[in-house]
Amino acid sequence: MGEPHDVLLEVRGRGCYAARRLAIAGPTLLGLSFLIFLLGSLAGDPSGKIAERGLLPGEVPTAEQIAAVHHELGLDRPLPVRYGEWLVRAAHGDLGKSLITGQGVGEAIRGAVPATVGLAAAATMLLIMVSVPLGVVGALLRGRWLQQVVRVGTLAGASIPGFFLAYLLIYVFAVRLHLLPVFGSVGPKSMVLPAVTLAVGPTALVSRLLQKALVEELGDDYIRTARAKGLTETAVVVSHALRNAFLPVVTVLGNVLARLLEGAVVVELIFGRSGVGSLTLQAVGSSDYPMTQGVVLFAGVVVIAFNLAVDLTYPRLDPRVRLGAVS
Amino acid sequence: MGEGFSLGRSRGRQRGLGRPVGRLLRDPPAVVGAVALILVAAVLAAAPWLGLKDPLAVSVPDRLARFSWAHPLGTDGLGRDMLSRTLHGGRTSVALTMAVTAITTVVGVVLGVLAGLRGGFVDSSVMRVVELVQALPLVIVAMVTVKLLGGGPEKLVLVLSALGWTGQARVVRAATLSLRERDFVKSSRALGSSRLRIAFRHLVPNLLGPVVVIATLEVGRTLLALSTLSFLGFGARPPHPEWGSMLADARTYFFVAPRLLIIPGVAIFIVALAANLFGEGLRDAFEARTA
Repeated sequence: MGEPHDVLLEVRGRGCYAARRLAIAGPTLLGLSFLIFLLGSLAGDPSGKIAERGLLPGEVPTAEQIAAVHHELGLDRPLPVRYGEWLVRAAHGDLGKSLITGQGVGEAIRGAVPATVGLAAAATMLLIMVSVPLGVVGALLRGRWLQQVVRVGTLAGASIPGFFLAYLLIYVFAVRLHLLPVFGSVGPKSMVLPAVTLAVGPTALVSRLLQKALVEELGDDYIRTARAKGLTETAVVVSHALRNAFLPVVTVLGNVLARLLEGAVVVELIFGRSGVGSLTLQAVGSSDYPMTQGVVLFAGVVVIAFNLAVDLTYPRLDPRVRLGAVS
Repeated sequence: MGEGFSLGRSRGRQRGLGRPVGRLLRDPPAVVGAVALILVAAVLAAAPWLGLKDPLAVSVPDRLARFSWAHPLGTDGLGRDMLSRTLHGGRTSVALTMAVTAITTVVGVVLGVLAGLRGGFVDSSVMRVVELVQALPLVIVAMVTVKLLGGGPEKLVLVLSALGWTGQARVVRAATLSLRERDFVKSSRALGSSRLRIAFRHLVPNLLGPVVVIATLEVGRTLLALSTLSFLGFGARPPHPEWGSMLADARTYFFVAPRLLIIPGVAIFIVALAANLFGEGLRDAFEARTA
């Protein structure tokens, strides 16, 4: 919370804002890639497992066969060399092959992305439709009992574990009321419960942040000016305060997206959907390290790219950042 | 300035906790949260002396029993007493959560103070690591590393601690940056105090408020992350109960006995909500100090 202040703080006297954000994203990405590479190489030697693949079930690969695979994978060379090669291949989109299915990692991820993007898009729609009104109501009703209801309600949304919420929703809407299908991913109706499950946590986060920002904006001098010149309360709130209150929300969009990806692991498991989340769970569960490296790298790159996109558009939204004059 | 925290205008040390506590008591949701936390802590601490049944005792004839005097919360799919499992599971979940929170608080405070006081290269390195860690999807990375380290509760604590200290570090750093420009710190430095003395004598006491607030809020977040990982199979090992893994076990009986799933789910929800209510209330109480 409160990242916007930090962003503003860093701008002060540091020259070109966009260049600085770009300069941060690069090393972050590189650090991430190295961690992911280390993860894979610490996972142990997969040669035995790969050598087994061409054999009959129950047959044990010979030492020569394992050694051949070992050499073929380049595991007999020093770590920095292997990291460099891995990085170059990864940059070209070649993330290796699954140890379990032999399918290309990049291909598998590309196949899983559309389903998860669809789910995340539905959740994001819900997020926007619910969190904006909630944030506004929470901010305008300061000090009344309804505000306490909004406060406790959004905190409850932030406190309920996604996996529990999923089963509660299934129980109420599918088992008891028979309104929606329980599992699977056929038809638009099957999207409702997973999207709601995925949206609740981030919605709570965003509406609370928006509320806090809006309260701060409403106490500012320019709001008093706007009111003094006779603008309606709606105009003051919607076109003056809300506009500015969105700024701190924009800065946590990367964080929100990371939460959606995390949520997708649980949601896709429970609702039996395919996607990046279930692919991740499968890969980790079966110790399929090339696949695991691929999905973690994918998740990290998406979050970093999103954060960077936010950072680069931020000066357009907030002239104070663009002009380097921070109050 | 900083991470949503305005520090009091106190000289040297806090002027006691009287006023924030008073404000906290006038905030009903925060009081409810605090009372709930105390009750849960007391019940979980007393669990071994409550005369509960063995949480691991399997009794197939009694399986999936409904609520009764013998089994106040019924039994699970193997006839184990749910009340006992819920309380013993809670001891595990809450103990692991507290361990993670304790570690992340210490690490966050040390690194935050270090970054804020030293500035320069130390500061920017710490902040780069913070940004890197915060760019990671926590649950996914935790899953991978726990699996890699071989699983088990202690690994879970280690991994969640390694990924969880950044929030505390950011807040402490921001607060340190604003504190070190204050007159009482400057005069102490002018008198020749060492950095260590400044850190312990002047900074840490003034950081207490924000640190306690963040730690309380982290309890809720950590419990959720921990139980999510357990639910996914990366945590406590069966048969020992833990709230997340109890919920995972209950999936088999979801259509027959949804209560098996609802009981640990509600337990996690209550503790997380109570910690968040109390933490929020604390934050408001401390923030309002200068107002």
